[in-house]
Amino acid sequence: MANRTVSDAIAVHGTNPQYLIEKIIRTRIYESLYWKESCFGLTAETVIDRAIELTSIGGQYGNQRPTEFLALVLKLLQLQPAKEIIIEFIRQEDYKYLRALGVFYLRLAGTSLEIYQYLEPLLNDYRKMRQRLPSGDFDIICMDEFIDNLLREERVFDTILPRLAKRHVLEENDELPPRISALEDDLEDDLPE
Amino acid sequence: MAARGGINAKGEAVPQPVKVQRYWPGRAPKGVKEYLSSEEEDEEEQHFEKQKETELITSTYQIEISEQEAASDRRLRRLREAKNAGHETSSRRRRHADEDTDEASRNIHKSEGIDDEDEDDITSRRQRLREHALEQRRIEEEQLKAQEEAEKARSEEQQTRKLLKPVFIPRAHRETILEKERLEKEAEEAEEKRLQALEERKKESHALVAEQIQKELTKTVDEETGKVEVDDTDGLDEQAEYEAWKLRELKRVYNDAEIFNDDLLFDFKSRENEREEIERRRQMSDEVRFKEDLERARKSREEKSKGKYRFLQKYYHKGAFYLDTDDKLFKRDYTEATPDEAAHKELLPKIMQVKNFGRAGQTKWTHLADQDTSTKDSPWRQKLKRTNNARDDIDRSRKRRTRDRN
Repeated sequence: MANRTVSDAIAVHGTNPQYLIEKIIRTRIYESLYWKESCFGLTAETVIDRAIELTSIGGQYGNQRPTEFLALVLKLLQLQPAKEIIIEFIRQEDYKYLRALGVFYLRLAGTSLEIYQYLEPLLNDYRKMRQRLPSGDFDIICMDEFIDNLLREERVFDTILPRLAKRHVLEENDELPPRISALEDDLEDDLPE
Repeated sequence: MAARGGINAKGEAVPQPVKVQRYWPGRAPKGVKEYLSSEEEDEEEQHFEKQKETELITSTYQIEISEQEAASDRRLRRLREAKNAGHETSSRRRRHADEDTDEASRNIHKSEGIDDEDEDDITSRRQRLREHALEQRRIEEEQLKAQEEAEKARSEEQQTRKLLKPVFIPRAHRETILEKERLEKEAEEAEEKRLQALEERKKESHALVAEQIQKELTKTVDEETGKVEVDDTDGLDEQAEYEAWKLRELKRVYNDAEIFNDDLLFDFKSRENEREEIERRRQMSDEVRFKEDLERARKSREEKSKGKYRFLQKYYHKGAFYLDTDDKLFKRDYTEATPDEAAHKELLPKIMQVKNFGRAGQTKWTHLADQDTSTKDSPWRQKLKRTNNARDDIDRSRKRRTRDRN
């Protein structure tokens, strides 16, 4: 198994899916204890157990050590599970860190349309998550903040996110309906006053 | 064999050579015969006598040599002589036989002598021997008898022991099998119990280790952060969490609405405005559009403050990246003088009014404006005045060339 991508993987964004994590961080993950101890021989199914055990999300921390979250993202990229599995990761509500993992993977490997379709509804999920900062400290980040970062930022958790088509472009092509915020009703209520 | 003389056919005494005792392989040496037992000796003697007779018979028939032959042939003569010389023959075999017969005859004589002397002695000895042999035989017979009796007794004993009648016991009732099964079952149960205990113990120790690790992890986190661990449980204060989200969501909605709010480049308030603007510009002719572009460029140039530079103040470029971020660092005024440049350099003596004065990188330049060559009165802008001499030179060379050609 080693660190090779599965043989039947489909190229994502014209490259080996694992290359979506930069080389240096990838190497650090391969050398990390968590990767060697807990990520060996995982499948799309057993990855769930590891994701449920997660207690924080983040990129690199301390002495540029990759977090377990990043290691699992790389594992998913290596395994390339079916899209339905990832969508199920995102849909389920019991484990927020599993959802975060699925979301991050989809942002890396999905198409723009999918990303808008599956990520924007999660802007209404305001559950708290522990985020590991580069200094090694922990911080609270809510799911909607995390999603918002993924949709706007170019770089999240020390990973360059693939380019995302602008939302209005997709709207003009009639591929995506305009986004309606959950607060829309409240706003309309507020306006007349 | 002692040396002995002989007389040949002419009646001369011929000394016979001393016969040296010789060892023949497979034949008993001389002395041994004397020690043979009397009975065997007798047999031997008889045998020898018989042999001697045959030897003698075989030896006599061949030699018949006439006088004439002897006279004509030297060898035959010699042979005849030899024959006449008694028992001496040319044949080696014959000679040996002869020796043996001599010996045997002598022995016979000797033994005959002994027989005569001690016949009673021998008979008594024989008697003794016979008695001895009989005794031996009797003893052996007795021993054999005793053995036989012992065996007989033993076999009788075996026969007398009472044998039990074999009774068939079905497999299910056989005690040995039942016992065996019971033992096996017990062993199995014990093994199972042991394994279970082992498993439990393993689990226990595993849990212990896990707990320890968890403790250590939280501990290290605490040490690293130096504060209480961050709690990510939801629903502690549902209302506050909702309100926080509402605020964020409103901000998002607002930002989406004003996606093009960068008023440095465009005066667009929304995507709607942008579309209208595009339409408007498409209606224009090229000249009008160009004019508008120039106007906008001039305006934006004026809007950017150039800042007030002091005399000989260093220039630092602001950079082009990250200007859209809300960081204070990028909103600073980079045209201000740094503290070490705050001195009034215009008051310094002329010679010190240069860049990096007193340093290795000192230049003679103050600033670019001082060295500006683009002004109209600079020497580079002056039209060159041709002198007469120069024109003459040119004319002369031209004339020379035309003349040469002709």
